[in-house]
Amino acid sequence: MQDVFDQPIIKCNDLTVQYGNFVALDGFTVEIKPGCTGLLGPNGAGKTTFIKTMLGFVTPKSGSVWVLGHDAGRPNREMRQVVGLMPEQDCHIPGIPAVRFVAYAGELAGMPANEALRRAHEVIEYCGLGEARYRPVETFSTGMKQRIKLAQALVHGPKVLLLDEPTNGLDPHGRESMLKLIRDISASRLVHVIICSHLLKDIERTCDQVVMIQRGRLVADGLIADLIRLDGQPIDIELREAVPAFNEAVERFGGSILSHESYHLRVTLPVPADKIATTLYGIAAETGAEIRLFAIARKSLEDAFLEAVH
Amino acid sequence: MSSPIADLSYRTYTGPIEPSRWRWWTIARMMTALIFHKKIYWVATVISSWYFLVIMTIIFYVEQFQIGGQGIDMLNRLVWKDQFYHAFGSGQLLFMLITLMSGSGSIANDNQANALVVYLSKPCSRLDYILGKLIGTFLPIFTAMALPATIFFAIGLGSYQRYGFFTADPWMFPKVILSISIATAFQSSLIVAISSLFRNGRGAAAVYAAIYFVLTFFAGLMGVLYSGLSQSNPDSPALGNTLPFAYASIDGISLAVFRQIVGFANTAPFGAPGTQDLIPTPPVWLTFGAVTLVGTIGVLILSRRVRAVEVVG
Repeated sequence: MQDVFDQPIIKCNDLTVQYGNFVALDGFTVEIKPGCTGLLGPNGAGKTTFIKTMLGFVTPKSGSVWVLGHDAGRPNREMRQVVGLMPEQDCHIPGIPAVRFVAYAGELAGMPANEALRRAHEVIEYCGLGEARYRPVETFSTGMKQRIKLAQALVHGPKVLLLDEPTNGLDPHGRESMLKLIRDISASRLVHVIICSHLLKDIERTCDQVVMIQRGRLVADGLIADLIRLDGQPIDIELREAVPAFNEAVERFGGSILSHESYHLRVTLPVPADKIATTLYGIAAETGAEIRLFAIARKSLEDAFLEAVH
Repeated sequence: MSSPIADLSYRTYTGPIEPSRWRWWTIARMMTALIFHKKIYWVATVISSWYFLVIMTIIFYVEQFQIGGQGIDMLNRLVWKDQFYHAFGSGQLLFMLITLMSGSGSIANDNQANALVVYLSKPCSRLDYILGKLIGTFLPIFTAMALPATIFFAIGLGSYQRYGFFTADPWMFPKVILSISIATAFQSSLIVAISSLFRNGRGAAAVYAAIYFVLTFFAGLMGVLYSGLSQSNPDSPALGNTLPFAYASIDGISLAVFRQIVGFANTAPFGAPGTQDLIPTPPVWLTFGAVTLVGTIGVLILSRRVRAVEVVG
């Protein structure tokens, strides 16, 4: 069973996409595992082209993309049946209320009209737009428009959900609730989510893994936990007050102080991972230091991203 | 006491999925439903059938009050296919308005609302989209043209048979419907193609209306020129060159199609004595060549304009 969940949902082999002389993707190879994945990269990196190629909107010059076993290089209905797209820009069918719009999106995906309407009510409720379901989408606020885009992407029950800048233009409260929704969808394990966002914090909060692209090439990919891990198992410690004897004791023990700002320390110790806590608390007890915070030190995703792209 | 526990977690869709070959019909059905819900559409349709209403009123009064032998002569003199032709011709301006109502925003409004990405990200091809938009524009225009003609035919079948309504040409009604279908297809392809060039339905409507009026004015001038020439110098070779231009308008081509298929006996409207006009029907190849050319150009424009749009900023 574990093997099934480890199978990549998207396989991209040596993908090259050109617009005239401009190479948008250059031998791009990646495998995206199930779960929630963030797509990161500076402007012009090729994220747009990758999404377009996954949807079969552009034809690659060479290479291939497979989405859940469907060849995306050749646009086909089966592939789009399992994909839901929430585009970045506002999009709606003009002149109809929200529930009709979402039901229509379902009918376009092949749902019978009565099923589509029932499901539209369900996803609109799920996306928190229950009160506004009979209002035309044109009259919606930015946050509501983001939610209705999510609803139309979910209506046909896709297996892969592509979210393009899902928190764009949202206020802090709206952003928080959108991220909560995304986490909930992802946690259901019924949909694999791919988020394209320039907000690293959003990616960090919602995704298990990231794919970093620069100039059409893959620069890093993997679990966020692995990418932000620091070598040497450093520990961040906050003491109640600075105790020089504690620092000396750590160094005497063969460890080193990597950074030291008043009573904030980052230390490493030459002991197995499972002994680090015991050792440090022992040293603190010996030297009279009081540890108020103890955490495994990590890079921020921003640092990991900058390291990868530079 | 227990209360139900609401499951608010995400649930996927596991219900039935219909075959993809009818996806274009979903689009056409939605477009048609939106137009059919507009009161103004039905008002325009009723007004466009004014000729049928007037001719039926005339027939009613002639029969009701037995207006001497002259009245009955008038009814016997009526050429029924010409009544359909006159009704079709007299409703053209309103058909143009209905065409604008049905088709000007068909793709332009989608362009404005970025709706294309919704369609193309679903299991729905460009062909489905284009076909759906064409059929969705075709159906309301066709209904506006064909519904009054069908009602008039039904009334004629029941009430005017003694004046040769059906016996004069049993195939008259199918021919009327066929010619209306071709004229509607021609107008639909033009308006939808123009709509695809704009990001605003009003812009597309303005351009279509401008084309309509400029060509109608031009064709009218050519018609006057042709009539003048044919009276002053019936053997002039210029006549043959002028004739096609007298039909070089949206109405002209539609009426020429009607004449080619249904025929036209050149009688005046409402069975009045005399003839309708001096401009003969243009050649068959020219009539259908124009329809095919405009339709092909329309489809080519659509296939170039309807493309997957930017999905990521």
